[in-house]
Amino acid sequence: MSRHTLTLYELDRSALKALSGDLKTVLKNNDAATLAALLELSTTVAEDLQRDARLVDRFLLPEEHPRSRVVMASVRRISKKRSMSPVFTSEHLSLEGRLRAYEPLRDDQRVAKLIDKLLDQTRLPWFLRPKNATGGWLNGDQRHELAAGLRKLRTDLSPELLAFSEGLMEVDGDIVAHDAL
Amino acid sequence: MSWIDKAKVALGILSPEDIEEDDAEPRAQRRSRPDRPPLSDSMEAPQQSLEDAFEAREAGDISRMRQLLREMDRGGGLRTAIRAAAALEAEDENELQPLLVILAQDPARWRLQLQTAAALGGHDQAEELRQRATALKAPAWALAWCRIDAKAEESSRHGLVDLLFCDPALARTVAARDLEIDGACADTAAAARYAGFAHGRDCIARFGSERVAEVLNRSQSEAS
Repeated sequence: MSRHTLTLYELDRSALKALSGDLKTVLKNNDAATLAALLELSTTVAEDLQRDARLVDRFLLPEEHPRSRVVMASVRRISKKRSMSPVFTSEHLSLEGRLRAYEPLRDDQRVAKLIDKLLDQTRLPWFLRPKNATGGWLNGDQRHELAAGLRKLRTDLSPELLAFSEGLMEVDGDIVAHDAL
Repeated sequence: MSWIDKAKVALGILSPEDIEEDDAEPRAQRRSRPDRPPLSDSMEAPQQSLEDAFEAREAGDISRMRQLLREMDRGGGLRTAIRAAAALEAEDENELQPLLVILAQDPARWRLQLQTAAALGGHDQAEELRQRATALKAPAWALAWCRIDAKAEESSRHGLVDLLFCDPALARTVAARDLEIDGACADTAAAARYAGFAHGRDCIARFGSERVAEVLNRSQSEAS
């Protein structure tokens, strides 16, 4: 399995909530045409959806299943398009390991707690949690607090952590970290 | 000295001194802690399961079933509810009354309400139990799961979508195990929760969900 580097996205939380609400409504109504429009699916896939007795079933299948793969990839693509702007991508595969285990960060309980939140996939909507991916989010206050905490530890930080800390400062408001969007 | 050890000594693999004698000190032994009080109030784990009680019932041995249910009752939850349903069935008010009080005081009584609603399926009473569980602040995943019923297409679809949005691991597990959707796989992250809830639902269905629902209705009267 190939690994990916972490990217930070500026998050428009209300846009993501709106998309999630729309998706929920469409699935409850079992409305294939609206789902195809919402996810900007190709005509072929849209026609395929029309044959589903219950649309939600596709989203309950494992991601590698052919019936699920296309729709899940589309939900993520649309989520990104509507609610997330990339602001920083790390060049280092080692960044996640450093964030999770680098002692100077772990010794600062508040910084460690915020990093754990930022890398906690369960805090993201279910459709932004691909298998084996890393991701999470912080609100604006938490992002600001983490950036300030990292700034204080600046002299102890490795190059990948320094770059990450600068990336955090480039964002206004809420932030998503993800390695598979 | 065992025959293997004797053979090893004979072959020169071990010397007799290497063999631990039977009366040698054990490497670890139970430590006695006289400073600790005895666990006098600990309850022995029940030796029987609900399965044994159901088998007795299905064999027509009602008194054996009721005896087993009394022995395995831990003072609340599923076993108490089944015991109460058996007492109700036998019109044994003396046994039933205190059980109704216990069930009415259970802080997690939403669970039995929803397990019974799920066991009842499309029965009219299921909706009443679901409403009661909602009032008892049942978690969203449990309320969503209990709306999934193959006989009610629209309500079932809504329940499934709600479950996907609030607990995707459980939704995938329900899709694989209850709905048997082709290609769906149970998610290990939800396995324990699924098993715990589904076991209660299946036991209630096996005993007779309408009888258990009647017990819950009567215990509700005790609570109010």
